[in-house]
Formats: sequence, C-alpha cells, structure tokens
Amino acid sequence: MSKTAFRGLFLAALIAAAALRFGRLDLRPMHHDEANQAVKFGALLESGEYRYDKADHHGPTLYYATLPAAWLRGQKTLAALDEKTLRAVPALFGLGLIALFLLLGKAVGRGAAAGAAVFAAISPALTYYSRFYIQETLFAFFTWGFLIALGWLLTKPSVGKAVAAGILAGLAYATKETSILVFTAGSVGLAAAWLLSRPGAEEKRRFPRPALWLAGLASATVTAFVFFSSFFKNPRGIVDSLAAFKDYAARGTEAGMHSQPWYYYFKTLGWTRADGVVWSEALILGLAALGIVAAIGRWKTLPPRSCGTPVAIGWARKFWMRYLAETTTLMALFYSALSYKTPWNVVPFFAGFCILAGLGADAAIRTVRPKAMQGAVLVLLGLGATLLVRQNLLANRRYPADPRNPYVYAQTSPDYMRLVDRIRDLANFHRDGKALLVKVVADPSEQWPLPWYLRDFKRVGYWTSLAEAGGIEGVPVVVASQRFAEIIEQTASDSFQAAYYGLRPEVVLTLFVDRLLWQRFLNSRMAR
Amino acid sequence: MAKKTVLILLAAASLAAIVSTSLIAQQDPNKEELKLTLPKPMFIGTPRNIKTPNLEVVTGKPRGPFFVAKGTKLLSLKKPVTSSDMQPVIGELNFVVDAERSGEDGYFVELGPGKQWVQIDLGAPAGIGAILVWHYHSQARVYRDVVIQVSDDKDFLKGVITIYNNDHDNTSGLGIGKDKEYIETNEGRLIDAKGAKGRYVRLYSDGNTSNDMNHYVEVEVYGLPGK
Repeated sequence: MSKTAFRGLFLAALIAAAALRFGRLDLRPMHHDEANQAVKFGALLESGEYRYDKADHHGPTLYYATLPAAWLRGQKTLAALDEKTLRAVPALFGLGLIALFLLLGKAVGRGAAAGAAVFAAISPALTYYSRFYIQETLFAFFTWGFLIALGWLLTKPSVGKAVAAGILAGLAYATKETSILVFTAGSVGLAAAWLLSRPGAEEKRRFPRPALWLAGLASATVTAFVFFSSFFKNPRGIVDSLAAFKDYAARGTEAGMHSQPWYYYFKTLGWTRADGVVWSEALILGLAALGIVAAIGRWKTLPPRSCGTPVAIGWARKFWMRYLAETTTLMALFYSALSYKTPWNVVPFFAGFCILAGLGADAAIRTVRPKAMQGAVLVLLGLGATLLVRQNLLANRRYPADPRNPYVYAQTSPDYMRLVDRIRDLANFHRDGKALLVKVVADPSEQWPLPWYLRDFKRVGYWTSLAEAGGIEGVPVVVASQRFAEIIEQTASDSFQAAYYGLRPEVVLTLFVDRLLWQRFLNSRMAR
Repeated sequence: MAKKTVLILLAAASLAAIVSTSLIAQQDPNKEELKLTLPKPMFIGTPRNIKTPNLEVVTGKPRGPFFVAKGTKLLSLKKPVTSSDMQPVIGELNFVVDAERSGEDGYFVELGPGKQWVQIDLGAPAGIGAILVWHYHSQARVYRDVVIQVSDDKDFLKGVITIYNNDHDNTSGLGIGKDKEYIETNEGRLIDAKGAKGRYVRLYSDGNTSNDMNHYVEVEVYGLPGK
C-alpha cells in the first residue's frame, strides 16, 4: 500500500470512528455502573478529593481523565455535569486507540495497520463501549499503548520507549486490576515471539539492556503510585491496590450472577439472534483467525506489494506478527477462562482481534491469485465492512438500550426516563421545587441510577427498608421497588397515586405521588 | 361439609354465568358472538404481577364471549396501512393486516422509538364493532400510551372518535385516558368500538416496558361495511 493510500485510509477510519463515537452521546439512559462512576467523579470535581476504594470502582484514571473534559465545558459541580461530558472521555480514548495503530505501520505493514484501524473504527462492540462511561476503553488504550511500546522497545530499543512502555503500563494498572492478565499475556507473548522468530546475531546484540527494563519498571511504578495515591495525598492507595487483587481474583473465579461459559465472548461477538435482529462481528473474528495463521503458521513469505514473486519478510515483521497474535490469543484465553464475564471485558482483547483482522485482510489480498481476484477480495471486504457499519448504527443509535442488542447488559430501560421526567415534572408543581422531598426505598441495585438523575435535587433519601425511611406519611414522592411497593399499596394506597416504570428487564419501580400533587400535575396536563 | 358448600356455590355461580351470557345473546336478536382466531401462547407462566391502579390485573383466565351486530365482518384484512414510521427496520407495514398472528420472529413489524402510529384504511366508512390488536406477545410487556381513534379524515384533524385511551397522564397530548394498561398475551386486546363510524383506524403507542420501540403483530377491525 502506498503512503498516500495508507494516510487516506487511516484518516477515513479516524473520521468514521469519531462520527460513530461522538454522535448523540446522550441517547442511551445511564447504566447504573456509569451513574455510579459519574457520582464518584462528581466528588472529585467538587472537592478535589479522591481515595482509591479497593473493594469496588477500579482505578482512578477515569476520574482524573474526566476533569479536563468538565473544565473545558465549564462544569464545576455534579449537578452541572451531563452525559455528553462524561461519555466524551471514553469516546476520545476509543479514538486514541485507533490512532495508536499508526505506530504499527512500520511494524506489520501499512496495509495491515490501515485494515486494523478500519475494523476497530467500525466495530459495533468497540464503538458501543467507547460510548460508555466505564474504565474499559481507557484500559484498552493504555493496554495497547503499552503492548506496542513494548514491541518497539524490543525491536528498536531506546530509553524513551522504555519509559513510554512503563508509563502506559502504570496507567493500565491504575485503570483496572485485570491489567495483571494483560501484563502476563504481553510478557509471555513477547518471550514466545522472540524465541520462535529465531533472532539473528544483530537482533540479539540489540536486545534491550537491563537498565532499560529497569527504567520501564520504575516509570510504571511511579505512574501507578501517583494515581493510586491521589497525587501523593493518600500513599496507602498503592498498598490497597495490591490488596485488591485478592478480592478481584475471588470475584473472577467464583460462581455468581456474572458467571458465563468459556465461549461467552466468542458467542456474543460471533452470532446472536433475537426478535428479528441478527448480530455478528464474525468478519473480524474470521479475518483475525486468518491473521493468526499468517503470523504463526507456515505463511512465512508474502509478496510485499504485488502478486509477483514471494519475498521473504524480515525478522522484525515476523516477530511483530507473532507477538501480536500470541499476546491477543493469550488475552482472549485468560478472559475466557475466568468465570466472571461481562460483555465489556471483550474490549481489550477484541481491539487485538481488530489488529489481527488487519493482518488477515492484508494477507488475503496479497496472497490471492490471479491478481485480478484482488479486486474481488477488496469488494467482499468492502461489503463486509458496510454490514458492520449498519450493525454499528443499529447497536449504537437504534437499539442502544434494547435487550436484543448483545452489548446491552443490565442496561437501564428507556422506560425509566419516564420516571425521571415525571419526578422533574412534579417538582414544578410543588412549592419546594427541586427541594421536594423524595424517598427512595429499594435494594441498592435498584436505587441506581437515580442518584445521577436526581443529582440536582436537594432532598432525596435512599433507604433499603421502609422502617429506615422513617415512614412515608406526608411525603410528596416515594419511589419503591416491587417488594416495598406492595406494602405501601396495602397500607397507604388512599394517599398516593401510583404508576410503575421499568428499571431493567423484569425489574419494575413504582412511583407513589401524593394525590393532591398528582391532581395539580394532571390539571396542567389537561390544559395542554 | 364446608368444602362441599363451596363446591356447590361455585357450580351455581358457573351455571349462572353461562345462563346470563346466553340470555344477553338472546335478549338482543340482532347480535351474534364474534368468532376470533387466537395464536398459540408464546410465554409460559404468569407475567410479573404489577399491582398498580392503572394496570389491569392478569387473571390467567380466557376472555369471555363478545357480541357484535349480526353481519359483522373482518374489514381490515389486507387493507392499506400507513404509519408515522414508513421505513421499519424489522418487518413490513402490511404485516399489520396479513392475518398472521404468530408471536414468532418474522411476523411483527417494528416501528421506531417514542410515539408512533399505524393507520388502516378500510376503503370506505364503516360502523366498527370491535378491534382486536396484538402488539407483541412473546414476552410479558406493557405498551405505553395506547390510543385508538377512528375518523373519516385520513389526517385525523376532524371528526375523530377515540375508542380506547390508556394514556393516564396525557403524555401523547391526545387527552387523558381512563382505560387501563395491560400485559400483552396471545389473546390480544379486544376493544369494544361501540359502532364508531369511520373509514380510517389509527393506533398509537409510545414504546413499552422492555424497550422504546413499537410493535404490531396484527390488527383486526370488525364492523358492518358501509354503515
């Protein structure tokens, strides 16, 4: 591929990725995990305080990375924040992840790198979680930044690359505890690729010296310490981050509500069908399999530009292809081996599959005979890419909160927004306005994401039992989960008008509104 | 002894119900029972029992007979259908009147998110006796703000008769409805149109409790042609 074609294709991939990631970021209701992260970020924004919680919420990079976004939009409080500000952060890192593949141009060839960028840009899964205010996309960015820097450190060593790899590893660690899986996969993949690609004397002579490895390790440690200690305010944070491994290891291996069979990720990505909608990223998986064959199989010689005489590829190219294939495969195996699975965990290793799909597509185009058939392969790839774009639009614009979408997981139902709108409407008809007393009585899992949506209300209380809530007599608005709603209906139905709203599939909340307040609201609606 | 008494009372009540039903039919010789064909049920078990004043309680018992004027016919079969969403992603608008009532994939049309409508052109004004609608019946869900109107004006700007409205807070801006929300089942929703006259039937909804889309498996409009 010529430099001009490479630049053009890469730029097109970046533009497409930006359009798919940044458009209508407020379309999907906030997932309870997003809401939880948002409220935690709100505390950092308002008070400057952050303390690592080893039991939950993962590392701090997401919150610190959100600060500039909030400042840029002039949002200084939790109440002032909105979904666009929050979700723009993972969207930006999702775009950055694709930009990182530019660094693979000289490693695996321009065609393969451009292909990787295109597949990552239009992948419905990668796009979906780039629009999701959780750590995953940042983690994938730091992970692949680290892995690419590590590869370059081995093939063209320098202090700068060692420090860059260290900083990115530190950031990956400060983002998610599962970075340990990535570091293991990367180290084993690197070692295996080095040994199996049979380095010559020149490569062995250039192998990075211990000082470079130490520089990388020091950079990683300092970076992780800076973030986990909340910029030196809480030095214990780094110790807590190590202690957290015990909890996360137990969570990852124990049976629980997130337990799934080993093939869950491949099934989710490969083929799902629900109520008339079919979802598949099999094109990327298939081409990635071809990429693995090209990298570690007997496909050692590839014609560099045309279908002329095959020319042996250099050692560095062989090493890179093996390294990327082995590391990605190991990552996928590690994540699949854990019983704890949520669909967003595909992001780090599926980004690797996109790189491998680039290798596979490049290999297919270069190898096909006769030459005229190259055009046919390109047309087929174009058709496949068009289908992926269509699915991307369905997943992210038409069905972003629909349970039929395979990337939707315990997602807040669009019906929930009626509840939020109704409470806001009612506040307009109450003398207290947004100081309206709202009592929420539900289990913790059914309370979220209300704290996000009522973040500008002054008097909202959350309880897990009616007794703790101190009664509901005279309270203008009560939100109750089904368990408590039945009790309220039996004891106080005369005082309240009730309406129900879907929180998640099969989970319903009931809104109880003081009858006088309801009548005032209803009168206004009748006058419309 | 007490058990025996209860059984006798139950038997008496059932007999009374049957007799009274036949009496109703006999009382009005111009009426006949509307014969309906139902698809097979798609979900097993009782749907989640949401007890709120605006939602009909699910009894699990079959719907009783419904009587309409003699000569009542299915008027909507294969009649033209238009919609606020003329390009559905799933299915075709003509699925609404194709006599396929199955809840499986391939039998429903899906309209976009938010408030949407479908409209059936009966071809000529008619006296409508009943409307039977299945939005979607392979999962227990409630469609929001269901409003059904009849008119001779295809744009529904004048002469509009509302025959069903369960939008209890006027979200749709079509007025506050007193009808109850209901959980979709294979029985569909049978609505007494009380002889409302019009050429066009328009059905609104505004998403459902599972997602924000709007669906129709089938709509059957029964009435007396040209009346």
